[in-house]
Amino acid sequence: MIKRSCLFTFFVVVLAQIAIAQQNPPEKKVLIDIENLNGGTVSEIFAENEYIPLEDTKESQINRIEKVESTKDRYIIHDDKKPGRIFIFDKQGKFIKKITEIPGKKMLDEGFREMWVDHERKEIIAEAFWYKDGNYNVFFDLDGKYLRMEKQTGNIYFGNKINAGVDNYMYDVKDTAKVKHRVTFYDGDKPLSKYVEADTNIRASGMDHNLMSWSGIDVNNNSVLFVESKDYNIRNVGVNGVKEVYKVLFPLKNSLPLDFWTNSTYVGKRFPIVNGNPDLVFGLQNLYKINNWLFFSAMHWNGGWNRVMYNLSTATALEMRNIQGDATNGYLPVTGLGLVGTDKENVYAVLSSAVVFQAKEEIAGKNPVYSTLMQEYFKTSSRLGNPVLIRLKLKSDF
Amino acid sequence: MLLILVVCLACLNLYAQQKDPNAIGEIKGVVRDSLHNFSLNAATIAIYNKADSSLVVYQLANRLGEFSAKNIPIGKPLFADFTYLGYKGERRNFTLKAANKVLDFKNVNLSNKDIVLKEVQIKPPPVRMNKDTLEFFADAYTLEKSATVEDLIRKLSGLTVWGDGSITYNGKAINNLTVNGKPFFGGDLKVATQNLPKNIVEKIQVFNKASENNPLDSTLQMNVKLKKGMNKGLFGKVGLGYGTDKRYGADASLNYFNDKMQIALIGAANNTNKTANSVSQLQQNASFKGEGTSVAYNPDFRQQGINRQYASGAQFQYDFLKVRKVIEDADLLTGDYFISKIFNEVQRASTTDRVVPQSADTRKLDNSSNNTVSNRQNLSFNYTLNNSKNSLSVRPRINRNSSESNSSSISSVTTQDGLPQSNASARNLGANTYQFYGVTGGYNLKSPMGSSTSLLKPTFNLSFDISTDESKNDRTNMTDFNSLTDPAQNRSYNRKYQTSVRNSKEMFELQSMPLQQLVFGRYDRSGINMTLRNRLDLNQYKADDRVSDFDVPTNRYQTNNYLTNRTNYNLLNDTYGLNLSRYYELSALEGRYQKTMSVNVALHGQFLKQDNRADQKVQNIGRKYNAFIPSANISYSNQQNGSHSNQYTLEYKTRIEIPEISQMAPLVDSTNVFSFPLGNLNLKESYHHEVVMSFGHNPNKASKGLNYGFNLSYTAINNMITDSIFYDQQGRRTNYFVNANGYQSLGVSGRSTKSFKLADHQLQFRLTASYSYSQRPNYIDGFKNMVQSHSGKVDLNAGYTFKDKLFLDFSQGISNSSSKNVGSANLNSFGNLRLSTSSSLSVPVFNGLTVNTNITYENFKPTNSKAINFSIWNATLIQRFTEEKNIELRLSALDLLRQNKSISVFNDGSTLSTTNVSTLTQYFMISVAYFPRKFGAKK
Repeated sequence: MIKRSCLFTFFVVVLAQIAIAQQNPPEKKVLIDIENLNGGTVSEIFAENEYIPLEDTKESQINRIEKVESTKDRYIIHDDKKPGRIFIFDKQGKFIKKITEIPGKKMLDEGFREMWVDHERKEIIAEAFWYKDGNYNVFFDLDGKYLRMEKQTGNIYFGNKINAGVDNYMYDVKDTAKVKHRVTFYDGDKPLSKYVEADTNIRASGMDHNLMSWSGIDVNNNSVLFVESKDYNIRNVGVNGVKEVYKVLFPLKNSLPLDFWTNSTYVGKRFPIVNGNPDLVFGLQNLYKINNWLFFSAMHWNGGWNRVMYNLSTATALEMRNIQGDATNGYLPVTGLGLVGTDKENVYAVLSSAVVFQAKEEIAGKNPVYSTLMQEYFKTSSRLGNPVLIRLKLKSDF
Repeated sequence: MLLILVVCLACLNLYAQQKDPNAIGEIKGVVRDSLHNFSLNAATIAIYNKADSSLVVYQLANRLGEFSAKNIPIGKPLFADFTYLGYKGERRNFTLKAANKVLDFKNVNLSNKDIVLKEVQIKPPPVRMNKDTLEFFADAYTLEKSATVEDLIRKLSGLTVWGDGSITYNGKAINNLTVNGKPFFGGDLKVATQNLPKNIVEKIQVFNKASENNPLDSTLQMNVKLKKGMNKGLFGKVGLGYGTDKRYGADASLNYFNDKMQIALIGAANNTNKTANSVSQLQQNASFKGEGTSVAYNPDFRQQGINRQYASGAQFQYDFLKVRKVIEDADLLTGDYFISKIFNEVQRASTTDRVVPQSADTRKLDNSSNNTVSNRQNLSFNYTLNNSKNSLSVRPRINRNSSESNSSSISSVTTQDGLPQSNASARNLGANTYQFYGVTGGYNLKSPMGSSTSLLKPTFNLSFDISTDESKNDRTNMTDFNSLTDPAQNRSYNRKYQTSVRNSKEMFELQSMPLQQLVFGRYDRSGINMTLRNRLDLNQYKADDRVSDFDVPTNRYQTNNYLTNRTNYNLLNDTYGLNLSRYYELSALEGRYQKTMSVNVALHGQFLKQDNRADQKVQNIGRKYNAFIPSANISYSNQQNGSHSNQYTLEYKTRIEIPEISQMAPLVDSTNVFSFPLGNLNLKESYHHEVVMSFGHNPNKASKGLNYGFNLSYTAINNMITDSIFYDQQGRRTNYFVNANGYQSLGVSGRSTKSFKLADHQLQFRLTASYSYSQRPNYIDGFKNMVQSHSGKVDLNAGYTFKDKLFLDFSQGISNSSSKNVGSANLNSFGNLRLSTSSSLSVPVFNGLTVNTNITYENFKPTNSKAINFSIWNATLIQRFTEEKNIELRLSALDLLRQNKSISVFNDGSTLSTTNVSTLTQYFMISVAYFPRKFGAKK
């Protein structure tokens, strides 16, 4: 009897702890001095680097790579320039197939607006929109063959039917009487759980702009990285709740006042203040978490957005634009215009052929050694050719 | 011309230095932020002579922070400054040794500006890219003490100063220059570049400014940022000259500026055909840097007659703006006052041959002499407000002019064999006053900042122009006409005219806010921008003409009831319609190229109401007109990243021209004994179609390719209002206006520029070519005639500068024009060929002394006439004294060869006139000038 009651008590305590933890998730301070971020060479920062030129033919011509997903033997690429299309290449950059349409259904001019890969089911999921019908997820196999269409529930797809709906705009928070959550998880179309209560103080203070909250993904945990527009806190939200909060702190001169979004005295002045003070960070975007690395862009108007790469274990803060080439990558540029994709070990960047050819010309005197793929690329392509994909493997012991 | 080339080569030999390969070496290294472990892409490395801090060479580090600077002199003490935006600079002193010509600095570490370290004073970098603005720092370039901003600009990579003072960057023209973000004394860039000293300048900024109306278009702007404490100064000129033939010239100017205000006072007097029509022109003639090959400071030998001018004026500017957030922000008031008196004396001798197969040929000879005194006063203000919310401009202006003239002429008409037909003599005395009061302006309400807007976003826009002018004209015309074949045609007139005119105009133009969401709904995705426009022009014209003829018996002037007339003319002109525009992104490959297009269509209608009431009932006319006047334009742009950009434009415009009252029902003035106009009440409005195509090619770097462009235009007019002329044996013509179809014209032009900079040498080339063709219908003695005219012109300009001291300019122009009559009988052609060759040279001889010389050779060959050729050769010796070079002694010799002539040829389809006009010829002058200059606060 005593044993049973002890066990019962134990479970209650554990459950209570879990509940408390969910209400007060662990916080990690992320200190970012955007004027003093470190850099390094590509081999100092990454364990491996690989440059994959994407085959350039009339059929496989890519405009702009918005996202890359990597499978065992494929690169799935979303080109989001109108009309949005999906390209499938092999791991050597050889073109396999292009997906531009849905059999039997005419698409709008913008084509596919978003793309994910379900690694478990080995499916490509593409988002398509129609004015009358709304958003749909269109499913293809990894060879590009059409499978089916389903009405979209959440706007981030993880896999195995698990998806998350993230309310990015505060205008969606219309009704102050009901409690509204910003992140909702679904299994197919069945709601599973919801988190992050909307802060209606922002709306009550008088909104002069349609505030947007950015979101990203934690690749290893199938969870959402959500940033509330009123602060710099990145919430790592999974099906079971908020796991962690990364409290990003900037120097005072780069930080908005704490009540910037909730104090009505700022109504009508928010945009001019941000526009007139280029050092102020007004938001975080392009969020990724892979293992113990956190990636995000700090948005401000002074000299381009900072692309931060932060190690949660060692508290090292790097500026990705200051990662430079060395002999291991033929001294080519490393991170281009930013990350376009991740998997559990790598991040992916992309360079335009114009930049690659110009870079090659500039450093010809160093006699760099290029991979066979790149040598072939330099012989057959030109500055008008397809972009070059870059795979960068993260160091586990940085 | 040969002499100039010889001088040039001799000077080159004097200045030229050979680069000995044993006397030069190299430095290299990597510029890094060692604390944060990365290399500094595009850091600036500048190497200077230690002795005088003059710049030897500079370059930008590559993407990996690496640099390698060659052609570094061996054995000379030098220092290298390393700079990067946001970092403290670093200086390294060094001297290259012959034994080791390559010095490797290895890693040059720069520290973030936040880190406190011992300060090292280094020079700012010669050049850097600050976001979208290219900045050149003046202190990096060592020039002599008297150097101006123009001398500095000549040194800057990518920038070219042309012979006329205009500036281009990588071949593209700089359209606007400001000083500390504001216009400088009227906005003429030469006032700033040729007066401001280089040593008060912190930096020169060059940037693109996008056009508000066309997203595909942008203009290059330049801003001169002055050093702290230097935003205050005084400069001017006091000069006096006297020469042979009683020629004189004097000018004085004083200009003061500070952070808020600019004031200029200026005056000039001369009898050497240097006439100015504005304060800005007076400023151009009084600039400190009056050197180089610019011929702007020479008298105008092509002006007709001798002009003596006394002019003065003032300019004012006040900046109300407290904080300038962006360079477009403005809260500025400017004022301009100009007063001038001109005495003009001109003699003309012309020969007019009528060569039309349908009639007998005649020759008319005219000799005339004219003296005019004209007075002018202009006062104008301009207030400009521009911020993120709205923009406002208001420009009131007042003009008051008066003139008095006295002219006499003698004419005679003979047959082509010399048989006299008639002669006439005339004398005209006149006095005229004119006053103008007007205000123009506009208001634009912009989209709120941060709200979503389409790319083409005209919002609420209102423009207006309101004016009234009054003129009074008193004129007496005494004419005697004698017919040697029919004495019954003899006439004598002594006629007085007193005309008062009052003319009022009001123009309002309103453009609505974008309306597409009203039409297509809130979620409009058509991309079409739709606005309504309405422009209303109102014109009220009242004239009171009192004409009287001298009556010999009574010895008094008696009213001429036919010509005495009061006229009240009202015109209402309303243009209204819909404007549609859309912007297309045709295709793009990110990072590679971008092809875009914009289409604008204006569906406009026009309504005019013309109403004339006059004492002469034949002129009581009321008419209404309605027309559909659409227009459209398409612009296409192809931007190839890192290479070049091409721009194409195609435009179609239409308009109508309504007949004037004087064309429908003129009053015939019998004192004009050779020309009698008749009216035509059946005249219709003419309808004009115009198509214009243009193309421009701009390489991203001037060193990579040619900058060129073409233009093509075509015009066709339906129901053109043209002449129908009848000639009689006396050489008199009766002319009335008719509508005729068949007018067409075609024009093609092209231009190309290229400049090269290599060490101390700079070469510039500019080529322009144009061709035009027109065919204009008219009627001669009842037969339909078509006047076909061709003209072509090619101008090549080449300039060479060595070490910013020697300037050589060469121009060659060829123009050819011809016209022929295509009627029902024989063809008659008239034409002329003009060759113009000119060359200028400016070379410093020794300390402060400069020799300027320019020579222009003109060869002119009209059809059926002997060729006319002449050369105008001018030479000037200029000696500047003091270290600041602000005292000048000038010896000028103008038209040394005494050959200047002024000849014009005119063909109207039935007659060919050749006119010789008196003009300025040879004189010599000695002048002295003092240029007061003081910049910055007192120490």
